[in-house]
Amino acid sequence: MREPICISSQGMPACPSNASAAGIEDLESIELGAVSFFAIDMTDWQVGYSQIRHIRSSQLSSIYLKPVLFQGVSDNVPREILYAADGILKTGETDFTREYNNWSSRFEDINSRIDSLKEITEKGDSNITFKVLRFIYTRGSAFKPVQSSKNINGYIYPSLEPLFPKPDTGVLETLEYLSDQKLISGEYVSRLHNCTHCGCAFLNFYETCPDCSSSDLRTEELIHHFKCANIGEISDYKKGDALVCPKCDKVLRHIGVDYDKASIMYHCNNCQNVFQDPVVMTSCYNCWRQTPPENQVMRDISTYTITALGQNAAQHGMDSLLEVILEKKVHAIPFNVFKTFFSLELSRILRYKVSESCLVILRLDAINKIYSTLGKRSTEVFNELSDTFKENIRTSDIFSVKDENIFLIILTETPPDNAKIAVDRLENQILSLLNSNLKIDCSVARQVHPFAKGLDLEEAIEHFLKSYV
Amino acid sequence: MFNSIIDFFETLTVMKLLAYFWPFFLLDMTRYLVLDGIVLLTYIPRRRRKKKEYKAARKMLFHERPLVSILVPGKNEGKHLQKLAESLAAQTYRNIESIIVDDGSDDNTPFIGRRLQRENKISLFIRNEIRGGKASAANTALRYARGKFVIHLDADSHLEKNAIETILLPFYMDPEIGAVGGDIRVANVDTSLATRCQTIEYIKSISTGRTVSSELGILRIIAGAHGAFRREILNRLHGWDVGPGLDGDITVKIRKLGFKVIHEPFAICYTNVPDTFRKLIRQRFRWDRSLVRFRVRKHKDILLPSKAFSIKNFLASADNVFFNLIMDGKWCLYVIQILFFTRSDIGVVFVVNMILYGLANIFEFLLAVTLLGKTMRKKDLKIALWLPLIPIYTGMLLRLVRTFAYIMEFLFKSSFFDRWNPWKVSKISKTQE
Repeated sequence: MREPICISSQGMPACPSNASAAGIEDLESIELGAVSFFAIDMTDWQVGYSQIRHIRSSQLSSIYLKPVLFQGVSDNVPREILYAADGILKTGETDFTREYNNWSSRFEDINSRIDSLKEITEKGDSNITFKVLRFIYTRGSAFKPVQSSKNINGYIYPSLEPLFPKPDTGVLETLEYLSDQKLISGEYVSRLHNCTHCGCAFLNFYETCPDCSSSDLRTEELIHHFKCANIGEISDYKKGDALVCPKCDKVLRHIGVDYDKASIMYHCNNCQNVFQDPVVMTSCYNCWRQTPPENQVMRDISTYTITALGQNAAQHGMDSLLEVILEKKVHAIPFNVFKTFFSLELSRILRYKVSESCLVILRLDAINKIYSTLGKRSTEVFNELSDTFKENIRTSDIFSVKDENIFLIILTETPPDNAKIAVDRLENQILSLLNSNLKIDCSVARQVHPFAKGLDLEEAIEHFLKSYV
Repeated sequence: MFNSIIDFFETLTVMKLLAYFWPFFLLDMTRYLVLDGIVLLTYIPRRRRKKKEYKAARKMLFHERPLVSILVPGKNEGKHLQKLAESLAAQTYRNIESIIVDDGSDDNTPFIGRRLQRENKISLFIRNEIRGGKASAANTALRYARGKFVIHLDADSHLEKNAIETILLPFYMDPEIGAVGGDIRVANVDTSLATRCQTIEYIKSISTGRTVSSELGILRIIAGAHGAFRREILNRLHGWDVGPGLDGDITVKIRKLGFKVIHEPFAICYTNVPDTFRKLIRQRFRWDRSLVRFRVRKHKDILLPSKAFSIKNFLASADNVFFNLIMDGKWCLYVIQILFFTRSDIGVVFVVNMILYGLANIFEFLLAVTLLGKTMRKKDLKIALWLPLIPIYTGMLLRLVRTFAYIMEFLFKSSFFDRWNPWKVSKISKTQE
């Protein structure tokens, strides 16, 4: 039977005497397969929350996917923090051994699923989208959103939040992307109006004057007195507590019998305009911008569960969206195949010594940012990015992508000077697309290696990463 | 038949002529042919002589440039609003505000009205979600009118380019004028026989008829389709009362305040009239009942001696009551006379009556052409071909409808059940009557 690990930290109460303990920084050094869950003390909930975030930020699936139990939870812990854990042990529980055993057996299904997962890369799971998918897969339950004023989206998925480096960084977008890829499926919960500028769901809807845009408006009901056909604003009729017709001096008695309220008029206190159709505007509590409601973004909030496709992807890895698009548009080839082409081209150049070819290594640091900030709209950006590659790569060139953000190009029959010119052009177009047109902060790192004796692809990439990353 | 007519005329004496055709010679010819002819034949040259006065009034109007509020109440009139807005935009007098009130329409009127307001083609569109009737809709518009003058239009009307300018001129020629009726011509002249008959009727009864009444100082109605008022007077009266017949009612109330009301035949508004006889009969049944409801009942004080008695107001009402209501009884007598005393000549009497009234109509039409001159369109002139049918249209069809309307209103106050007003408004009006 797996055993829990209490996460120890300074100033926290000691773990129950019979439980194992480990420091938050030492998790990689323990035998994780034998751990049923991590128990975090929430006496100081802010420290406790930082610990769960630390666990979820790991790239090792055996750590970040491990169930977490909050213990020592007091009533002052915010709801969205409380739900970040897989379980809660409330203050007052005394028989820790029995509770720990109960929880260990309840988490066994999750731990079995974690065990069945293989590490896709040596470094673990670096792609946050993939981490979210695996997390959803291992929990085997629906992920419900919770309304929260702490997050500008207005809703949070408490257990997914600690997976992300900073709050408000693309939980919804990541889930929408996974849903678009049919890896998870959503069931409608609510529809939000989000600010088109900053995505904030906290919008103030208010009515304004169509002439001067002032929101200083006054409304008046129009009263129709049946007997004499007089129509006027309710203030025209008010005499003390009674309504008296200014035309025939009769006291109005019963709405629907001797009078009715025909409609409502708006008066602008700023420009004295009178109208019936005020212009509705929204102002964002986050960015303070004023925008007509029809220009705001409508977003559906859903409860998500994993699909069969998602289960398969969680177990065996998922292709990145960009790689799929590049494969389709630019005919990017898999890295293994690229390595073969590299060897062949190197042999050809060295043997005949009549021409020159170059290897270009290029890295974009904005790929993850595009995923997390644009969500569904990433596809559009990646399509445009792929078009940029397509315009600058000849059909005789060989192109591949590694780890989503390293682009490898063999420019055949191209001397280094010409290769540099081509790469300059490519870099300028990429920066122009991302920085200028789409306002996405991005930098491009690149190296050009002429094919020469001793050039090794893996070494070149390693050297490149060390130089720039 | 022709020989019978010849024989009939060969034995005809003056006494016999009067005995057989007294309604025409003693009443209709005297009132509508001789009197109208004399008045118009003096009015036409006098109007020409007043050119300088009109010019001075126009100068004053454009010097002052008062704001004029155009009020357009209506229900389910959305389809007409675009054309109306365009005709307002094309006016020679530009300082206007247009207020359109939708009285609880159940079609796309609110959508069209709001679009026109967004496009600045009208000044204000007000939708009353709960229908209150025409008077309440007009009063809603009046509540938000800011102009010195108010012009009331029907939504299915459109104006000649100088209509607003022309209808305002009389206010600058005589400060005692409280309201000016504009001329109403038929827009859908050639749609059907019903619209053709109404075209001739409108030329006779509105263009010339109201000009004559106006000249005699006994004009009794400023039509809701095209009428201008001083706003201060309407505010004093708190607007219109519950209809049907609210335009005649407010005209009487303005007269009672001591203001003059006149007709301006050259301020032209085109309106769509009912295109079937069925619709026409329903409209006239509604209009005709108002004579009993308002003139005989509500404003009967005009006809009785009192401190506020005014001979002109008396004549305005009495003319209407006598020639329309009492003289309806005359026709009953005449029909009885023909049926019982001249049965052998019944065919001849009918044909001769048709000829006499036909000739009278031709004369009246010629008077109208002389008065209206160039403002008449070609299709208005061509309509003269249909003049022979008018004795049947006015003398038989409209008379029957009118008689039935009077009887129903006298016996059952049927105007209070008219669906033209919401039932709750009609119910309250009837109990308060």
